[in-house]
Amino acid sequence: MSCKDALIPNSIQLSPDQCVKDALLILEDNHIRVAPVIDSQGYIVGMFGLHSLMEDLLPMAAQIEDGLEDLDFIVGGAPGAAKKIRKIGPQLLRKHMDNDIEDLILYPETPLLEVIRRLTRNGSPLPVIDKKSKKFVGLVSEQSCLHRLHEILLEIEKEENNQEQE
Amino acid sequence: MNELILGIPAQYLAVAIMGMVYAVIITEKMNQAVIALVASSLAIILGLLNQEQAIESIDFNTLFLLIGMMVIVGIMKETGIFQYIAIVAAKSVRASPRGLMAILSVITAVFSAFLDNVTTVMLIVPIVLLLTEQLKLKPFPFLLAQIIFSNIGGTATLIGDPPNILIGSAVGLSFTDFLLNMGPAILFIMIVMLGVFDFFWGRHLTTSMRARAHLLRYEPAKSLKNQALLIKSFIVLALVMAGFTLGHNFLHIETGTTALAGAALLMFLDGFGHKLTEKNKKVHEAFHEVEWDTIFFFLGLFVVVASLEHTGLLGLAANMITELTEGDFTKTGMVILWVSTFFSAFVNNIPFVATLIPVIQSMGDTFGQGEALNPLWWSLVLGACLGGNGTLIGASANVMVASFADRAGHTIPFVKYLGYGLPLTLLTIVFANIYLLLVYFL
Repeated sequence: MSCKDALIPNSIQLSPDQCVKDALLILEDNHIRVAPVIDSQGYIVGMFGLHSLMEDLLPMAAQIEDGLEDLDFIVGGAPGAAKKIRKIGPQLLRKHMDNDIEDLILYPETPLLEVIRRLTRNGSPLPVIDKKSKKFVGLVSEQSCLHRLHEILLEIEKEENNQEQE
Repeated sequence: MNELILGIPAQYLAVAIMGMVYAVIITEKMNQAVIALVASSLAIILGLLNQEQAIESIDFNTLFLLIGMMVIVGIMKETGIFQYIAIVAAKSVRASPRGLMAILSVITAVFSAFLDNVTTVMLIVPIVLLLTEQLKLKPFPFLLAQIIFSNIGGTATLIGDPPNILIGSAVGLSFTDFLLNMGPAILFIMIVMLGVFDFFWGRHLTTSMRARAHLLRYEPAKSLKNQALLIKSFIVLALVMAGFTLGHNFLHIETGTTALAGAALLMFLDGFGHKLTEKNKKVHEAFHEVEWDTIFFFLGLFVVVASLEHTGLLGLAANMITELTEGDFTKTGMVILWVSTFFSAFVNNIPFVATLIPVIQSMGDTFGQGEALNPLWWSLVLGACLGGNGTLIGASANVMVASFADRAGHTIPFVKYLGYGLPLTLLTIVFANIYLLLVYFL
């Protein structure tokens, strides 16, 4: 069993050259929280989701590494965050996507147990690329993994029943 | 020591090893702790000094002082006290950009005098970035002030900057000695620099009343996370400061011992009343706050400098300097001040200071031993610490501020910094020079 058994091949894709506002509409229409950003050559260049947007709404001092760890003391910061959404909306996705995705990448050959481990560590979904061409082939998610495991369980039970009947 | 090792004079080998350390530090091709350990191992293996001499050369007082203070500050920062003070200060000047620049500079200088400079800027710069974003101000002048004032403040005390720890420990200068001798100089330089910053930047800064009103709504008390730990930290910090002054002067307890004892007490108090697993976790986290690569860099460096000393090279260097200055005490002091300034502006001042300590000690034959040499030590302290302001790579705190600026999208170009940093450094050194002449040399 490997990653390709839990693969979602026809996932929703975003382009780095579309605006944030359009990308958010696509996520909303498809009831998803995150989608891969794929360039015109078919390579994954990042992931974009509500989490990326939330991060951008924070003051820069809280976004950066080793920055502020709590903002409890800021009272009345919500209007500022709301204005940021208005400002970010027309900007290109490439500026706001999460492009630090090296640790997220999986391959179709990755064993399923390792896929589960990575999902627990890095969240869901995770992008899958072809090892040779490096092009995007699909996503794996917690749901697609559980679905595959459920199928395996059904097969095991079927086998056990057959053995009992014999 | 004029013997040959592998057919090469020992002195050449010692210089080559020290040169290798400098080359790696300048080119940043390897972690400085690793190169210091490689170099010290080489010095022992080649026989420039034996293992016993190498162990003897390690100044454990310096290492213990660094480790102790790193643990104490590491635990203390979890309380949110530093953030609290910065926000209270911002509110105290009614969020006026001009007042903010001055008050944040003073806070950084004071914190730097009692904490490591890098730790200080790591605590304050995120607040500076937040406040400048809220007030829609360009962060550059504020970040420049953070660099300049962290290095200025660090000069004032024994524990403010690693060169001071090295000098204080090697020579036996106490916390009180530093505070009494460097304190007035730093206060004088700080007042001048506050005026300079206000003239060139502060008085031109403007923001909207609305942005200021938003900042004034901040509730700094919410930054305080663990009041019980805060009280414990203050008690321990007070005891440590008493140890640095009274303990050192009357009981002759070394500063390293005091700092380590303070760290142990704070770890004990922090874990008090918790389950064993939680206690162990807290201790583990506290030791995690120690910058072990810095500790091992110092450790290796002590051995490398001792290998230079054993070959007699540092004594020769001392003779050369006194010949150059014709045995004139004032000229020697000025040479130490200006050479250490320029050296510290471009390379790490720690190996430079570590090398110069035995050189100055050797000058005791010419100028007298003990307290007679103190003016030269103060020249070295002022040159090495203030010189760090000269370039963006002159001190670790500068590199840290530049890294924060870069992450926040406000990159500080090396040349741009040089344009401001070098003249400001020269100005501080001119004032340091005047102070030294008036107080010690004339």
